[in-house]
Amino acid sequence: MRTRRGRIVLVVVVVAAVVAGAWLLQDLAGGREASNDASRPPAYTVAVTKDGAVLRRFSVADLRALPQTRVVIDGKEQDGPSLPAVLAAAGAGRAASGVTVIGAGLRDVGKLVLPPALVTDQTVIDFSERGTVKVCSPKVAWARWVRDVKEIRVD
Amino acid sequence: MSTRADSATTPTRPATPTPPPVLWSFTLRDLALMSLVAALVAVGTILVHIPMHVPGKSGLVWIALLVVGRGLVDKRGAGLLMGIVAGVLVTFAGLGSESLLTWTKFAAAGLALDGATWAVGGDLTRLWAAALAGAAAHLAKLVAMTLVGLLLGLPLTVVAVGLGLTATTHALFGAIGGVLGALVLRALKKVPEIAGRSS
Repeated sequence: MRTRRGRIVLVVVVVAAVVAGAWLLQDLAGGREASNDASRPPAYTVAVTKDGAVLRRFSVADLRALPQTRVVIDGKEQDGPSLPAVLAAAGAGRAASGVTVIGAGLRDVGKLVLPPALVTDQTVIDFSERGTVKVCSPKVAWARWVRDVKEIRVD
Repeated sequence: MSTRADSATTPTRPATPTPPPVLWSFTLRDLALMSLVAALVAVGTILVHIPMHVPGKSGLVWIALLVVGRGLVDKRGAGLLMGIVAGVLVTFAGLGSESLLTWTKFAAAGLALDGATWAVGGDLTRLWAAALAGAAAHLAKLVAMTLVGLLLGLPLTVVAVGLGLTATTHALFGAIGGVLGALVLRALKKVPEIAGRSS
């Protein structure tokens, strides 16, 4: 691989290998939410917890089955169940002290504390193209949104 | 055969003195350009939001800027240095919205851009070369993010969700960003003050 052409071919091969490897890793890890294989447990879930106990784990399909809300933030539509709808489906009752949303922390700080005043129908669990969900609201700055939500803790 | 009389009638311009390097092989001009591009990358990442529901779309902006910077400072390590500076700026000036390890993805992209630029022969004004370098850099960012996620103890199932589509769109947006960067670079190379020798 001393010639320039050889080096170019090497870069092309590496780029293609990374993309192919990503698809392979996704399949091996069961990370494709669209899979219709019911025998496999969902790869990604969002847990609703209260006092340390898991009230319910939602797959993306579970969240899609809930009543959907649409909010438009900065001209972009965010679709998904509202936060109160998810809490109600988990049997969490009213979040008297608010909610803490915990994410993977890869694309943001991974934690958002929402006071009761922000636990409204305007706070949406939006579906990302990656197959995970994020929490967004017109009353919360974009920079504070939490992506790849793993846990919604009722405080 | 040249004579003393010939040389007297056709005076040559004195060669521009080579500025001394300030840091490694980088001159003051190089460092200023790289700092400017790194700051633009950080500002673009923090402030520019493209209204599309596709992962990796932000690469259209910051990969283009990195390609411009690497093209203007055609020296080994320029991409890595710009990536580190941009990453540190985004991490610590990102209004508290970024993970503390965010800088690693920009550093990885810069390192990959250096490697790819070397592989394609250095001239990033060629569209195909810039596209390839941009795709490699943007994918390197994704690889770094994935590795950081695994190092942080995230389950593979969470890290791998949607990874195939994400990698595909990262390669695509990186390539488009590279092409955009090459077009900007072509325009900038026509400006003598900017396109001046970097060594």
